[in-house]
Amino acid sequence: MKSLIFTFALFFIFAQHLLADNGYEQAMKKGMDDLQNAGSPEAMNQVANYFERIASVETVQWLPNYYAAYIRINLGFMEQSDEQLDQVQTHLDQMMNKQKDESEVMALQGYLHMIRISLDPANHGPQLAPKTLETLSKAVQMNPENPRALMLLAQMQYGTAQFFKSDTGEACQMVAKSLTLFEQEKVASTFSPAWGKEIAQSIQQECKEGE
Amino acid sequence: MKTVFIFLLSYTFLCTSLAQTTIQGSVRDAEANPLTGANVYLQHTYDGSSSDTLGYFSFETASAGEHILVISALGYASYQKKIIIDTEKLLFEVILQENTKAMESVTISSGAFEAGDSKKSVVLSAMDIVTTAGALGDISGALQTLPGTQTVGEDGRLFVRGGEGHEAQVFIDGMQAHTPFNASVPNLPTRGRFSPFLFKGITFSTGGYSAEYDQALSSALILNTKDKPEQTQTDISLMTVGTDITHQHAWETASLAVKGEYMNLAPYQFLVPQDIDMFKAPESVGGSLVGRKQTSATGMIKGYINYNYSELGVRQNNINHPGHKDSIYLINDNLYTNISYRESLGKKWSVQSGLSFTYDQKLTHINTERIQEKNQYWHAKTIFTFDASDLAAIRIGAEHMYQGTNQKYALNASSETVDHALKQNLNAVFAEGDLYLTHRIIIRPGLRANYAALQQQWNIAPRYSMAYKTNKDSQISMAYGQYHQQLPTQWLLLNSQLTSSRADHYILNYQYMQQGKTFRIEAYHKQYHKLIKYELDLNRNPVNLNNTGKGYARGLDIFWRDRKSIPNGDYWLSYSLLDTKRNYLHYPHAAVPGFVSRHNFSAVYKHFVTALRTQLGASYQWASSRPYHNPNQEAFQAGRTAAYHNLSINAAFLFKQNIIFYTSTSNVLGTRNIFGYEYANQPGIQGEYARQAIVQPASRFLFIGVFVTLTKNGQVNQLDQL
Repeated sequence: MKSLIFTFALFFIFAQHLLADNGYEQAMKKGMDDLQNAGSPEAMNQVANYFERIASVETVQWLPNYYAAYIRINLGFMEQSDEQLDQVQTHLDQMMNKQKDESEVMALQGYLHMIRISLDPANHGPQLAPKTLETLSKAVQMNPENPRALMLLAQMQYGTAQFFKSDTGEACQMVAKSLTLFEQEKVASTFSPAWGKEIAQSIQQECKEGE
Repeated sequence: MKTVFIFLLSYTFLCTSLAQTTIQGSVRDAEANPLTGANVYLQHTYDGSSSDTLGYFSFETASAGEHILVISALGYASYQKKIIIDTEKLLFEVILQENTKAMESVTISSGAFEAGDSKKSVVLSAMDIVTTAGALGDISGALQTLPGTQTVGEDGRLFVRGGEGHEAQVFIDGMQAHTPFNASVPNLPTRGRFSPFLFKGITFSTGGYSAEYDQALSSALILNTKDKPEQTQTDISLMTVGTDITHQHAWETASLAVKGEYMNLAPYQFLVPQDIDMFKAPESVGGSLVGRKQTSATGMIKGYINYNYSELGVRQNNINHPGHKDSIYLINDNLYTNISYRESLGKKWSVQSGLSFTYDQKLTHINTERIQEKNQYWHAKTIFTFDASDLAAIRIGAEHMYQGTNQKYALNASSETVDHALKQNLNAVFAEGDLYLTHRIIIRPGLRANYAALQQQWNIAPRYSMAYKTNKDSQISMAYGQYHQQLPTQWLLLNSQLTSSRADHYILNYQYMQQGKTFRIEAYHKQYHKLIKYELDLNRNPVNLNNTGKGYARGLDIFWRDRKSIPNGDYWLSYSLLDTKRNYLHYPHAAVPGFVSRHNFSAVYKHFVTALRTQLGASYQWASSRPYHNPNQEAFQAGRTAAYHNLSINAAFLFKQNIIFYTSTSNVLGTRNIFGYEYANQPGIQGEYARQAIVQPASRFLFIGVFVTLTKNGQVNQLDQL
């Protein structure tokens, strides 16, 4: 009898833990759904706040921080706010410390640099353009199968080539390759980063129009 | 079995407590404005919400007992409060304080113009300095488009608010750079030795600066070298005046940059005839080494060595011997080294320490005369900072400066040399506090004690500044301080017991800054004491040197910059009004010194033309007349030059990502500016003193350069990775 109680209790505690893990999954799922539906900057900020709350609980996970940062980069771009972007850098630095070798995090860092350039090309361009290329190349090296790293690198190269009126062929080839990677992408978990395909498609469209 | 049931029941109850508590309330700023989008949550739980457009929030939680409520919003200090969840409803009305570390908080702005890339309070960035038309990549050239500076075209150094060129001192990473300008001969403008690209931040203080700095009566130019090792790259510059090459290597925690440079103006002067007669065009060769090593997460060592050798020879008409030209030949050797270290000592303390050494040797041949001047300077400084809290910090420090000067003079190659030597030790201790009385008011009291060993003289220099933030975008600040500087070496060599001069600064400043627009207006009054004073003997040599000179300077500086209103355009306007008189040198009474223009105005415009990938720029500088003394007139300093005009244009073309073509022309209109006149010592046959004008070396200066940056991956083909 005693052992039965013990087993039962043990099972129960185990179940509780399972439930707790489930809590993370559920929370992430809700966050992802909210992100899909977030139309306004206010709504996006709410989702970013939400991911930050998850991050504060799930200190081992990097994805909540990743999404908070990803949303805030887009917000920073929409609101043309350097301040938002400064905050993102803090998020990224924290993640970089934990996820040194994660290509997705490195790619996001490159994305942040790129958005910063777009806010003030004259002042940030000269310094950040080489840095952006370096960061994104690093992300590609870390994981050559990461379509986002390659897509962002292609976008940067495409923009640069357009600006300098030089050949966009190389960038377009890269976009094509990133699209193949997007097609083949096996998402590691339900919450792994999966964005970017539309951007790649729109660059490819521009490539085709440019021909 | 019953126990099991109770156990399970209680467990279930504990884990999935059904009691829900609603936590609601509002988030506002200090002015009671609602804060939208703040993140409100219970620490270590998923429970939380964001505040709405009216600052209200509401969420439910199943947690009970003691928890921490966290509220965070961009630009505000994070709020944390221990709460006990024991009822169905909890109400909180929270006021968030602005983050004092964020840039929106009040900062001391009186007197100082900041330039740099990181901060938002910056007025100029390093790129601005390089791309300001007419500045030619010279830091002081660019700063001359800011208010408070004087256009002194025949000199090139910084003349700030009625102060002479030597009254503005340069500090690199806190350490004094004693010879920041290239050696030059009288009436030939000089430029700074240091490249603007070395620095991440430039603070140009036109007065009222911190207790850390002294030995500068009028202005402190504070340059901080870059911290972060950037990528490995090689930069090559090819210019009409010379070439330089820099290779920079970056490791994980360290970097090293090596630069070599060679300048020669001979080809340019051959192509573009000059108004002055140069038998040896300026030629120089030099190099520098910059190293940085991160010693820990918070520690950093930086080192900098700069060496330069230069020669130039010029023939100038001697007004005292009509038809005769003086030949002046100058050889200069200059070495500047600086090493600095900073580290945190625990959570609250940090230390910053540095050592600099300057060696400068100038050999001047004037006709047959030879003058050799050797100077050595040491400067050591250590500062401890105690961050008591977010709202209070105290800095205490000590410094030591040594100057050793040796001057040899010979009438000609075979005559005996006359030696003059000088050794000076200056010691100082200082303390200063930054105290936020509220989030709107900061005060910075400071005190400094100086001891000059040569004269065995102590002095005490109080400093005080404060700032009050009137609203989100504007603030008022004021500063007061006493500043000391020993007399220039030329006077101390004649009388080593002459004491330091003193200037008292009073500054009142208003600043408005919003979204790329900056407006500043600053009024100041300065009182000068113990300036050099002497009489001239029959041979016009100074005698009876003493410290009884005095003077004042007062005025108004206005600055406006707007980089938002015009798409791709950026402009700034500066105006300075200066009212000053000095009774110093051999002046018979108080008079306006010759380097002073009452009104100075400058306008700078930059426009980026995307289709051409070109930045076009123009700057216009105007300075009202300068006084000069005309011995044919009874009154002292009664002559007035014509006003100064200079319109400069430039263009930077991005040929490729890593190749930039740059061109600039100063004084495109070819205005013949006259800076003053030199008069003969004796009247001529008609009883008139003859004169000659002090003019520009050439009416225009044309500069063309190509700058190439080579990086490992900048334009390296990325295709090999596919």
